[in-house]
Amino acid sequence: MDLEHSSISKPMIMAFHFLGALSHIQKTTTHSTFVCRCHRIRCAAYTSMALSTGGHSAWSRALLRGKLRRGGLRKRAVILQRPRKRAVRLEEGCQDGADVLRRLVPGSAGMDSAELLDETADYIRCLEEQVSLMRSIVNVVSSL
Amino acid sequence: MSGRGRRITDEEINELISKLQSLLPESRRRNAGRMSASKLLKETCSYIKSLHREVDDLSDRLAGLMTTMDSNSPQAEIIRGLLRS
Repeated sequence: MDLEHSSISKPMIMAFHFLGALSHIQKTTTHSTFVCRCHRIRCAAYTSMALSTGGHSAWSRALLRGKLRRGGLRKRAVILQRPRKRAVRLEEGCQDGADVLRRLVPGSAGMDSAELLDETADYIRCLEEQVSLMRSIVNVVSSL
Repeated sequence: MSGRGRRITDEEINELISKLQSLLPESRRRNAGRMSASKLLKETCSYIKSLHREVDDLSDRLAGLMTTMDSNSPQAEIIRGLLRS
């Protein structure tokens, strides 16, 4: 069976993964604490975000690597331990901002400025989609 | 990795900066002209942090809603049914 990946939209893939995770969390956390449940929902959010991009971006791979390695997400950004290459400088005085950004965007620690900007744009777009998905779910569930 | 030594042109950087700027909510509201790279980075960082906070907040609310769903109310049954299907 040939599944046309492009015909299934990214938000749908995200929703599919996230709702599946929520359903699983609901079944398996009936006796857990609120904090534990909240943490698992947060992890599910970042995982479904990463899965919806199909591994095309470094941040999604970093998130999924971190999840596989630790069995859960403790930090959002996985800092890769390798020397940073600064092949492209944006401007003098931007390096602090770029460093902060590298800590925020997962998997971006070793990137030069151009890649970093590209990854950041993709990461922001996915974050917005995830937030919008979660808002819709909250609205639907709380209005029932 | 070969090809890493390729120099990025100024134009490409400018394009990336514009693209990123168009994603920021403030720039969309005010329709500002091109901002400096350092301001852009600062705004981007604070926007990403605010998005992270929203995800945290929404996770909180979902966890709370799930807790109410554990009780045996008719609403809880409906929600459980929705999540099961």
